[in-house]
Amino acid sequence: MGMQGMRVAIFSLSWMIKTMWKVGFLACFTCGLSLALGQGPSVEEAARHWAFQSISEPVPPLVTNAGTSIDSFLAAKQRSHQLRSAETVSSRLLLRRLAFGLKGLPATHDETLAFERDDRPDALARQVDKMLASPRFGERWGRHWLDLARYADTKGYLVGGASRRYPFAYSYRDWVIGSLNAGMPYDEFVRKQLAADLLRNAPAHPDLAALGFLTVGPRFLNREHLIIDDCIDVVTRGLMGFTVGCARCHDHFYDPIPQEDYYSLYGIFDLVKEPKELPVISLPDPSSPSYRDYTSKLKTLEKAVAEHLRSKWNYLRSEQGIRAYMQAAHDGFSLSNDRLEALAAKRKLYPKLVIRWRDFLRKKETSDDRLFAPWRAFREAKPSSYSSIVANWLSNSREIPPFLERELRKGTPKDFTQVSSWYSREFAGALAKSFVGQSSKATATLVATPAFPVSFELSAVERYFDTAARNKTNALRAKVAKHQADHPGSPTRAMAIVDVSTFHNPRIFERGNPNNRGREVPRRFLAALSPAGTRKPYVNGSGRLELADSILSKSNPLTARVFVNRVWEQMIGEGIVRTPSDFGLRGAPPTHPLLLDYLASTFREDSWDLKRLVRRISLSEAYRQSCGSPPARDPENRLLSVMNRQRLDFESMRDAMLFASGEIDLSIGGRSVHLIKKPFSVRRAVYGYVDRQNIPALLRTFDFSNPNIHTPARPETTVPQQALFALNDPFVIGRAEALGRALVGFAAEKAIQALYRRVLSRDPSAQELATAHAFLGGESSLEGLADLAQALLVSNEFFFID
Amino acid sequence: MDSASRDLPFARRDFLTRCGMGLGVAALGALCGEESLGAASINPMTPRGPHFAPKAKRVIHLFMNGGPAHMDTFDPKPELTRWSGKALPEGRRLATERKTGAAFGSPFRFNRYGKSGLQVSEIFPHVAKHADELCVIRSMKADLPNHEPSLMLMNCGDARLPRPSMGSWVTYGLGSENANLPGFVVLCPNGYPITETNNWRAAFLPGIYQGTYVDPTKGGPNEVIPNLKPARGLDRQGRQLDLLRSLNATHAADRGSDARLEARIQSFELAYRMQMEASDAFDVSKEPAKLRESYGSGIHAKQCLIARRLVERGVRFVQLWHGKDQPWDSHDDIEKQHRRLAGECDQAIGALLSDLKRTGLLEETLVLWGGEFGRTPTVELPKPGSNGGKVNGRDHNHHGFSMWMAGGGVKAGYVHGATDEFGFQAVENPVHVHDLHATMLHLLGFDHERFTYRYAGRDFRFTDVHGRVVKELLA
Repeated sequence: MGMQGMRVAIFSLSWMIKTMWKVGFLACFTCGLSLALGQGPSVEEAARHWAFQSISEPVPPLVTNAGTSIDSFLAAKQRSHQLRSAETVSSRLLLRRLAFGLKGLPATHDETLAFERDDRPDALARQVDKMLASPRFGERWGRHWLDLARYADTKGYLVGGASRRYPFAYSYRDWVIGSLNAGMPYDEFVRKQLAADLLRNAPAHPDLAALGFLTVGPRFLNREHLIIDDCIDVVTRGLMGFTVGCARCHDHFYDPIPQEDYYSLYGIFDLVKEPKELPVISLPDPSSPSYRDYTSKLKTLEKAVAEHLRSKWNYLRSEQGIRAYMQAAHDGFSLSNDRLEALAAKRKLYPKLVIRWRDFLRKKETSDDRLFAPWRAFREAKPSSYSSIVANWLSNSREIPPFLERELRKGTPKDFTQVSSWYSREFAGALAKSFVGQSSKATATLVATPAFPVSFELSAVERYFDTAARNKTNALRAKVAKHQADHPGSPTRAMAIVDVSTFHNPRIFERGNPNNRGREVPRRFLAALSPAGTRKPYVNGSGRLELADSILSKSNPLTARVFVNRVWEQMIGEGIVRTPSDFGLRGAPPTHPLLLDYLASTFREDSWDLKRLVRRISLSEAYRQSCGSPPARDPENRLLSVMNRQRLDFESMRDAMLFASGEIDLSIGGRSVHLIKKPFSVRRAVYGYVDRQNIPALLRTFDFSNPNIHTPARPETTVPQQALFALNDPFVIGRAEALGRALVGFAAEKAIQALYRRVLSRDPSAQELATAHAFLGGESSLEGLADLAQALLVSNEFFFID
Repeated sequence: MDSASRDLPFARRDFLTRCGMGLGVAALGALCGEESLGAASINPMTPRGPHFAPKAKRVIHLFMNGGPAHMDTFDPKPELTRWSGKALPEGRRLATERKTGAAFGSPFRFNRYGKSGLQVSEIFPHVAKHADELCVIRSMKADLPNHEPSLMLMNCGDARLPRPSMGSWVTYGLGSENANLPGFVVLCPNGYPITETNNWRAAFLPGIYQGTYVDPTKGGPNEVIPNLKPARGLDRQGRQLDLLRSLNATHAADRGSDARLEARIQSFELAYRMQMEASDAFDVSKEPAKLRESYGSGIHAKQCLIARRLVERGVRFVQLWHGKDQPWDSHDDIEKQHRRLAGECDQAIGALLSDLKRTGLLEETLVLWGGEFGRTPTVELPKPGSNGGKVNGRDHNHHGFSMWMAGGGVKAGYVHGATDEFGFQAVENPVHVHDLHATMLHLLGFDHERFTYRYAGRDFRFTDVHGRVVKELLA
C-alpha cells in the first residue's frame, strides 16, 4: 500500500468510526468492509469524482479516416493502443442489426434486398429515419424504459383477498410508447413522469398516465415507507445513476450522500397520495354497446360494495344494532379488552365497536350525564329493586329524559334489556331523525357528537370491521377491479397521484427505523448535485415539479450522462459506463469519458431528442462494424474495435417468431394480453401481462427484467430451459407449423427457399439447400417443413444479432 | 506488462476489485451480477468452489411452517409441567403476538434415545431413532412474533426488505452439480405457504437462482420443468437436432470463436438429456417398493423421497414445506394438531435420514428442520378472529425455539444452548437466525462476511451486518 492508499485507509477508517458512532454501530457494516481494506474515497476524491463534474463540450479529436465525431473519439483511443475498428458489416446484417435495435423486429427479405441494392450515399440514413418514424420504435424503446421503471400489472403480495391487480398499468405503458413515438423530448418525458399533474390543471389529461412511473412499483403490503423507498430508488438510480437508497439508514459510505438527503426526497413522496378515483383519460364512445355493457355491470358491482357497506352501517345505527352493542357493552362492562373482544366475537359483533360502546358508556356514567343517570341506576340495581327506583324517580319528579319518563309511566321495566332497548330506540330514532319532535334535543345533540360510538359517516364504517366483514369488502372490491381491468369497454384511467393538501417537512428516521424520528430536514435536492449557493428548499406543494427541474437542471451532470449511456448500451451492447445505474465512486469509470460527454452535451443541445441520439449512433462507423472476437489486448472490448454480438431478448425473440410466421398482430396499445397461456396472443410481447409476484418461469428463464426492483440491465444467461422452450414449447411448435402449413405441396427447393427467406431473410446456400433437401427427404410434408422451420427459428443465426 | 495494456481503461485486477466478490477467480466473470461486464454468458449454474473446502455440498431444508412448539417436540420442560395451570412468576411471561395466560405443560411424553440420550417428544418416534445424528439447537432466536417477517428472516435474512433467499444465495455461490435440473427446488403440497414465492425469491440476484416451485401433489415431472416433455418422438427430435447442429456449425464457422454461440449449442444437448433425466428425478415409482414403504404413505413420503432423488442428482438446495399456508400454527388444540402434524411427516423424515445415511449422502448433505419460530409455554387466551377460543393452544414465540440439523459436518448427537426452565426464551448460548445462516454458509464453504453480491452500489451479504459462526455446532 503506497502513501496515498495509506492516507485513504486511515481517513476512511476514521470516517467509518465516526459514522458508526453516529448510527450506533448498527449500520450496514457490509458497506464498510471494503473501506477498511483501503478502497474508500476521501471527501476530496468524492468532489473530484468524474461523474459529478459538469458535462464538457469536447471537440472530437482530429483523427484521419475516422467517420463521424463518435468515431473520432473511439479511434483516438484505439490508435493509442494500436487498434483499429473492424470492417463494415454486410448490408444484410447491418439492416438486421438496425431493425432489431430500433424496432425489435427483423427486416424482411424484400427490405434486405432493396437495401442491398440501394447505392445512394444516404441509403442507411433513409433506413434509420424510416425505422425511427415507425410505431415499432416506441414499442421497442418503450420496453427498455419499462425495465427501468419496474413495470408490472400487479401490486405484489397482499393479504385478505384484496385485489392484486393494477387494472390501469397499461395506460402508463401506452403513454411511454406513445411519447417515444411522438418524439417527446427526454426532459419533458421525465418531467411528466414525476409531475404531470402539476404541469397543467387538466384533470383528465392523457399525460396523467405518465405518473405511472411513480405508481406501478411493488406495494410491499402497503407499507408506506417501503413504497416511498422504491420511488426514491427508481428516481435516483433510474434517472441519475445515483444510489441514494443506500443513505436510508446512514450517510452513504462511498458517495457524497448524507442521510438527510434521503429524507429530503422522502418528504416529497410522503406528500403525495392516490386520488380516491383514478382519472379517466380517454372516454370511449358513450353510446357504444361495449361501454354501455361495461357501465351497467360496473354499476351492479359497485352497488354490491356500497350496499355491503351501507347495510353494515345501517345495522350499527339501527335500534336492533345499537341494542346488541349496548347489551354487549353492558354484559362486558368490567371485562378486560381481550375478554370483551372475545365476547363480541361470540355474538358476531365488531370487537372494536363493542369496546367503543363500553368505553363511551363508562365515560357517560362517570360524567354525571342526566341522560345516562337512569341507565347507570338500572345497570347497578337488581331487577327486583327496579320498581322502587322507578317510583322514587317518578315521585321525586327528578329530571329524567322525556323518552324514559314516557316509558316508565307505562310501567316498571322487567329487566335491563328492556331499559337498553328504550335507549337504543331513542338513539336510533335520533340518528334516523324520524322521531322528530319526540326525541329530545339532548339526544339529537348527543348522537351528532364525534364521541357517540356510531356517529361516524358511512365512509368510516370499514374501520370497525372484523376480519370477515373486511374480507367480504375486499372480495367485492376485487370484483370491481377485475371488471375495470378486463372489460373491453372500461375507459382508460391514469395511475395518477396528487399532492396532499397540507405540507410539512420530513424527519430523518434514525437508522432507517420509522419509529425513531430524528431531526427535521427541508424538502430539497441532493447536496452533491446542487451547485454551491443554489440549494433551496422546495416550496411548491410536495416539491415534485421542483425535483423534476433539479433532476433536469443543466447544473446536474448525471441525468443526461446516465440516459445517453443507457441508449449507447442498448445499441452497442455495452455501456460507456458499464454500471448503468451506478455512476458513483464505486461504479465503473467510463471507458470513453469524452465521448460520453460529447453524447450528453449534443443530446441536450438537440433538445433531449432520443431519436436524434439513436440516429447519431446508428450512423457511426462504430455501429456499422462487424462483430468478432475482441483482440487479446482488450479482451472485454472496451475500446470497441469490433461490434459486440448481441442476442434477442425474450420480447424480440417471441415477436420475431410471430413476424416470421406472418401471424403477428401489430396493433398498438390497450389492455395487457397473456403471453404464456394458450391460446397465445399474437401481439407484441411488450403488451404482455406482467405479474410481479409470480413471474412465469419462461420469462425468468429468458432473463426478463425483474419488476420488483429497479433492474440496471438484464442479465444474460444460457440455460437448458431456454433450449427446452425452443424444442418443445407449443408456442414455438405453433409458429413452425404455421410456417410449414403455408408451404405444403410446394416443390421442396421452393419451400426451403421460402422458409429461409421468411425466417432468416436470406436465400439458403447451395450446401444449406442440399442439407435441408435431404432432411425433407425431397418431400414437402407438413411434418418435415414444420421441423425444418423450427430448426431455423431456434438456430443461433436467428437468436444472435451480428 | 507492455505499455499498451498497462493503460488500458481497465486492468483485470481492477475488474476483480470492483466486482467485490469473495469467490474464486474463475467464477467472477459470471457472477458479478448487476455490474456484470459482459462475461455472464456462461451457464450460471456451472458448479463452483466456495471460499474453503465445504463440509456440506447441498441442503435439504424441512420447513415446518407455522411454527412447531419446541416444548412439545425437541425441548422438554419438566418445570413447565410442574407449573402447568399456574401463572408464571412475575416478569417471566414475555410479550408475543397475542395474549397468553397460565403455564401450559406439554401434553406429550419425552423419551431418551440413542447413545446421546437425546430427549425427543413422543410425536416424533421415527426422527428420534436418529438421535445420534441430530444436532439440536434449543436456543434459537428470531426478531418478531409474526409469521410474515419471521418467514422472511428465516429464508431471506431480512424481515422486511426484498432480499434473496438462502437457496438463491447458495445456488448463486455454488452453482448446481446437475445441469439437467434446477439448482434450487421448492416443494410445498397443495399450494404456497404464506408470503408465497417471496420465500424463495432471487430478489436482486439473477432470476435463474430463484427457487423452482413444485407442487408434489401434482407430481407429474412434466409439470415441474416447463417444456420438459418432448413435443414429438425422440427419434424425430433427434433428427431435428442433427439438422440444428449442422445449421449452428455452419453459422459458427464464419464467426470465429465465441463462447456464447458455443454455450447455446451446448444448451440444446443438455436440454435433450434433461428431458429424460429430470422426469426421472421426480418419478418416485422408480424406487424399490420396500424403500417406498419405509417412507410411509401420504404426500410427505413422496416429497421426502423426491428430495433424496434430487440431492442424489446434484440439486443444490431442496426446500420442503409442510404444506400451504401455515400448518404448524396451532393456536388451538395443540395436542391434537401437533400430534397430527408430526404424524404426517415423522416417518418420512426418519426414512429420509436413514436413506441419506444408507446411500452415504448424509455426510455431505446438510438437513435442517424447523419453523420460522417456536411457540409459547403459556396458553393462548381466547381472541376473536384469531383463534377458536379453546384455551388449549400456544402463541408464536420468537424469544426461544428449537431447530435441528443433521449431516453435512454438524456435531452429531449434540444439544446446543437452552431456553429458560419454562421454555420461554433462549438463555444459554443463544443462536440468532443470522447466526444459523452464518453457520450454514460456513458448512457450505463460505465465509459469510466475504460472500457478497454487489447491487445498487453496495456489497450485500446474506447475513447483512449480523451473524457469527457457531463453532460448537461444527463436527
